[in-house]
Amino acid sequence: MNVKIHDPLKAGVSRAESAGGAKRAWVLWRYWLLREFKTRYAGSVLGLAWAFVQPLASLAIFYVLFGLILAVRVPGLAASNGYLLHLLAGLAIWLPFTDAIGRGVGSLAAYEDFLRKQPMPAEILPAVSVGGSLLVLGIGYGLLLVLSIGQGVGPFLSWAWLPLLVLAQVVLTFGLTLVLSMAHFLWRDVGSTVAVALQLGFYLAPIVYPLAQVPERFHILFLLNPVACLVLAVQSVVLHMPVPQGTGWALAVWVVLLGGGGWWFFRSMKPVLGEAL
Amino acid sequence: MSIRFEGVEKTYPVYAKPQDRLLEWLTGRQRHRVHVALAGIDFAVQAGETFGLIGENGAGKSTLLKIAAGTIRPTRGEVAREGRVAALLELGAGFHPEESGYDNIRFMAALHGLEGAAMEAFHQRATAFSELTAETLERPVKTYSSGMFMRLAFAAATAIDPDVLIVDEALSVGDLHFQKKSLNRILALREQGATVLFCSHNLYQVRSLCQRVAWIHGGKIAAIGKTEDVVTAYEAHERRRYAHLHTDASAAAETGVQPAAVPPAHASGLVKIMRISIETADGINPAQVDTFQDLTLQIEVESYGDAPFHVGFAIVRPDRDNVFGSSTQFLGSKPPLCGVGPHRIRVRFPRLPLLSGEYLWSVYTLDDTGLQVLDMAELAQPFMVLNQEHREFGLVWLEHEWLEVQ
Repeated sequence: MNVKIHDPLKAGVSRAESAGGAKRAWVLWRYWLLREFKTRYAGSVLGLAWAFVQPLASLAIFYVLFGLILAVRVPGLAASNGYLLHLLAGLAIWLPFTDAIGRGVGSLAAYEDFLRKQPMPAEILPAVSVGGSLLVLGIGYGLLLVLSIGQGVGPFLSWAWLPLLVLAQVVLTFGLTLVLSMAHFLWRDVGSTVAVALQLGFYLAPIVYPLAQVPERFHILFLLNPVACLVLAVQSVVLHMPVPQGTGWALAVWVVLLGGGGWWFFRSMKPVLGEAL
Repeated sequence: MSIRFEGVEKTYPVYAKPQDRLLEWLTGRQRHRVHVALAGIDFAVQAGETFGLIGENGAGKSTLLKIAAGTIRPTRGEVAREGRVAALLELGAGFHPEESGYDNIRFMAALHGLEGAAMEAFHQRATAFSELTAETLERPVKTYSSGMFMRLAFAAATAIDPDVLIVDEALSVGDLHFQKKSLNRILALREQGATVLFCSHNLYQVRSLCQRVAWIHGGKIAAIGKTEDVVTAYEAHERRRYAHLHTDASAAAETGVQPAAVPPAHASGLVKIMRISIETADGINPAQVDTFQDLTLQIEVESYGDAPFHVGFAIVRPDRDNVFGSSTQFLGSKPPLCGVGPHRIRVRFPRLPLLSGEYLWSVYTLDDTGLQVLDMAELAQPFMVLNQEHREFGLVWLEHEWLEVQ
């Protein structure tokens, strides 16, 4: 008998399969995304309009509460309605992030039976969750740029960095979704923990409050939060606000760490998915 | 166009508690025991071959099918698949209840990476095969009956024209018409040269479909080769196993050691149905019978133990309605059948009163109480009845007299 021992990552997959695999995954991802959008709003009157209503409602609530009632001012932002822009920059990051994570965490567990019965690349499931958040992301960034110009902030040459920032956000979110969905599949505690962590995370990033209101010696700590890094990078690039030194580098480290680490963790745990225990 | 297993081994880590996996991952110290599901699986299913997997429950057949389909990976060894693979492990597993039948078919197409014209062709094949109306296909699948759901699922699962078909025993679903259609679809794919790997407990089916068979026992291949040789060896093993269980049970009963601990299923021996046939005065096992013909049903069974048993039969319509059934138990005066070895039961209908239609047989072997089913062959041996000489209509001929016609 000819027994071969293989790298567990490659065991059992023939070469011909992986060649057509990428195209198949791409087709499937797009179709699944389409289905996700259709079924998400199925049976509702407003339908796809909810995709716009939800972020706008969040924006309105925070703006009324913090911008008008508490009258938070943003130093270093030369615009008549600086707080709105600041808030929008934060929400453009936060809403798609929390949307992708919130849906993505349970994605593998929800399709547990399916994964056991139907051969398919499991990465699709977290990828669909991230894909589903791209609409909110587009709405957020679009609104931010339009309002910025309306308020006389920009357009700046630095906006050319935006595609790279969006890419960083997508990679970072996808990496984290990969980790969390797999972790939730293995240990169901993760889902509940994430729900709490997301609530906390919102206030640990300078979204509803400007960083300038935090004592300077704590600023460096914000770089330990990947979402805060993203928010600060957008504030710097789009609104030309001052941010702690090294924000860009911290963001790059987070993208590599979460993107690469997430992919590695997912691949190393993937064999567990099809197994009934 | 083929599947090749090379030294495939599958082991599962079994964790007593979920946190053990976390601790193991963090500390690197082993905290699980290893369950070996499969070991030393080394064979190839040739292109165009129909290959069967048999064995007891839990022997590893399903694991092997899943590895063949690619939903789980072997711990060691390699599986090489060539061609388009369709796995019928569970029908309709990926269907979305809120979506229409039409959209679910398209989803299955996307699952195979099809888009554009290829997706449309896939969709047309699946729609045609499912026999569901356009109106039905536009409704969400959550409104479907289970039969409709299965028809759609089977149609969508086989619409890619697979080169390799992997079938778990999932086919005993849906109504009889569709079951037959599904089986025909598998046979047609086989005719086209598709490779079929399938697992079944129905040895009759295995015998009639497979060229070669592997008998999986305790995660290893116990025997592999020509269907008849392997199935016979497996049957002999089952016979020994039941005989063994039976002697254990009676020994325990005699010595008075915990007789209650022996489950009744083991106390009564296994009685297998070996053959069902019908004969008329002018031919053996005809597929077509005339009304009022002389018909004899012959049932051959083999008893592996010496416990008394009964044999029952029923004439069944394709929609599973019983037309007529009887059992040796109803003979009353006679004691149950008894003794190790083959038994033959013959029932004669001197004037078969069935009118035109399609009928089937269901045969059961039961223990001496007539409650526990030992073996069954349901909806087997279809036959047609033709009522050519009489104009009366319906299911059966009822004795009647026209008393007054004025």
